[in-house]
Amino acid sequence: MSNVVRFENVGLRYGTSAEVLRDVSFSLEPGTFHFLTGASGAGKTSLLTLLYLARRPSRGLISIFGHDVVTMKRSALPALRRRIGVVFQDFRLLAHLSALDNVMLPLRIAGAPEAAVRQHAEELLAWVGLADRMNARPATLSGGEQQRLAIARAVIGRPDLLVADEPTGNVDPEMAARLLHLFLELNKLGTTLVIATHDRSLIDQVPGAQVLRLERGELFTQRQIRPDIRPAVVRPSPQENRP
Amino acid sequence: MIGRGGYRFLPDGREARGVLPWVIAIMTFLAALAVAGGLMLYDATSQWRTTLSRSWTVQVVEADPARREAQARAAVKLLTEIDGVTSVRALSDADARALLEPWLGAGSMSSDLPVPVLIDVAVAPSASLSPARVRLRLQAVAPSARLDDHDRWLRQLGAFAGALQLTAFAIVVVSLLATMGVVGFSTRAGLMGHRATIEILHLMGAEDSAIGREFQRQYLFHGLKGGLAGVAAAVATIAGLGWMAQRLSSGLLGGFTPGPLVWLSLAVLPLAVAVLTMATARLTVHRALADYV
Ligand SMILES: Nc1ncnc2c1ncn2[C@@H]1O[C@H](COP(=O)(O)OP(=O)(O)OP(=O)(O)O)[C@@H](O)[C@H]1O
Ligand SMILES: [Mg+2]
Repeated sequence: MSNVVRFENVGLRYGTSAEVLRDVSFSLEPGTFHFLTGASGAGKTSLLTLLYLARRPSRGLISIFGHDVVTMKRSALPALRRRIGVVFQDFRLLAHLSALDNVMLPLRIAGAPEAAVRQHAEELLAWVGLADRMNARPATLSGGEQQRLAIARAVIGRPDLLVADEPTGNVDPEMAARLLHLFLELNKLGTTLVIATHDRSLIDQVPGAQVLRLERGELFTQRQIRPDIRPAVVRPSPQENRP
Repeated sequence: MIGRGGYRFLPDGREARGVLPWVIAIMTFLAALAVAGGLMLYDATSQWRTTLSRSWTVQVVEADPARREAQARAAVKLLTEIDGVTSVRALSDADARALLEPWLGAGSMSSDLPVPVLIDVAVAPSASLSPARVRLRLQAVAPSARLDDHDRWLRQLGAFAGALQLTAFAIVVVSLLATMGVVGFSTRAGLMGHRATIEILHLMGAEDSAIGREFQRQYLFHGLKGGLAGVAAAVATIAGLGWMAQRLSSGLLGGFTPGPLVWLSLAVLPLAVAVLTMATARLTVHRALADYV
């Protein structure tokens, strides 16, 4: 019951094709850090869509925050989704909104007061190095800038569960470290993280993290979390990239 | 689609911008004409009805001139004595002939052609006179007298007016249904166009109602715009027809000038259309979103 996420024998198929995920079972404790790896096409994104409630499984049992989401009514989903932050592999920023408005979106959806939301969003954008791009439309941002924007949007609501699909795929190693720091800060505040990545060096920067590996739809646990090891992260110097 | 702080969850829908308000305007125009026509027809028929139900006609149809005159006089005497009858006027033989002339031709009417005596009877509006009982009493003094209280004609007129009103009502209903259909179609197109955005909003925890509100605001505006344009065109049409009817200054067309109820209905119609448009959009959105994950 205390698990943030619990999968039992979960299977997923698209249409009538073969199962993309087969008998996936795992559970995530609150406040833990997880990487999800696997070859391209192994099913990482598919597994994450189940985590952020974009899809229901073809079979098996999924419980998130203690709620059975397989049989859950549609009307109960928004409340759960507001506790989950998502960085999509393809960003999915809203094209008609400025960078600032995109970041504020989750809090606005949750009905947070405007003034507090704005200040928070501006600080966060500055942290990801987009202080001077706040009023830009996503289409005018570079790939890496869009990715950072997507991350800022995912973390602004301090979600209980953060799901990120290749969140550092488009940035240089220095920015990757900076973003990882953001994730770790969030983790310290109690957020459970699941980050899908191919980036071995990113995984190595968080020694305490558990690595889940997908191989052709089957899930393997590679490294167990060791609570005695606190992640050692190269923190960026405070003055750099600050507005 | 402007929410809190001028903020929009969804961009403006291009699909609804151009055509939709025009279609709504056309439908509203038809509905407005039907509403006004129905109401004015009701006014006119009730006006004719009260006028006609207060006037009876008695005919004394008798070939023998002497007996005709005697019965006519007796009938006039009896009718004058009846409570509730305000005036009794027998048409002179010359007047009656003058009335018939257009139908029979001036030359063909010889003086010995029997022409019935016509008696105009005016009945007080408050009087509850039974034509049947008056008929009975009339029978006693003037067996050849026939009382016509226009009842049959009034009933036929009433039926005809009722049918016309039903038609007007049907036009209103059909045009509003057509509006709903077009709005539903346009809303679904809008949902399709914004599908990706709506999915993202859902995944961030937006309720269906939040997405519905975006559409409601937009469609309320479209409905109001189309409704106002349609009613404006209808008002211009009705005012023009009213002016022409007034120029005719005929008694029958007197009822065809729009009364306050007509103007009130026309004032309310754009709001009703706007609300209907909004409600249809809302219903469509909520139904469609129920199929989303
Ligand atoms: N919407 C979909 N409809 C049908 N098949 C799909 C869909 N999404 C993914 N698949 C298939 O499911 C399998 C797993 O895809 P998935 O996107 O989960 O892989 P992935 O591990 O995220 O890959 P990558 O590292 O390239 O992002 C692939 O074979 C893919 O073709
Ligand atoms: Mg993927």
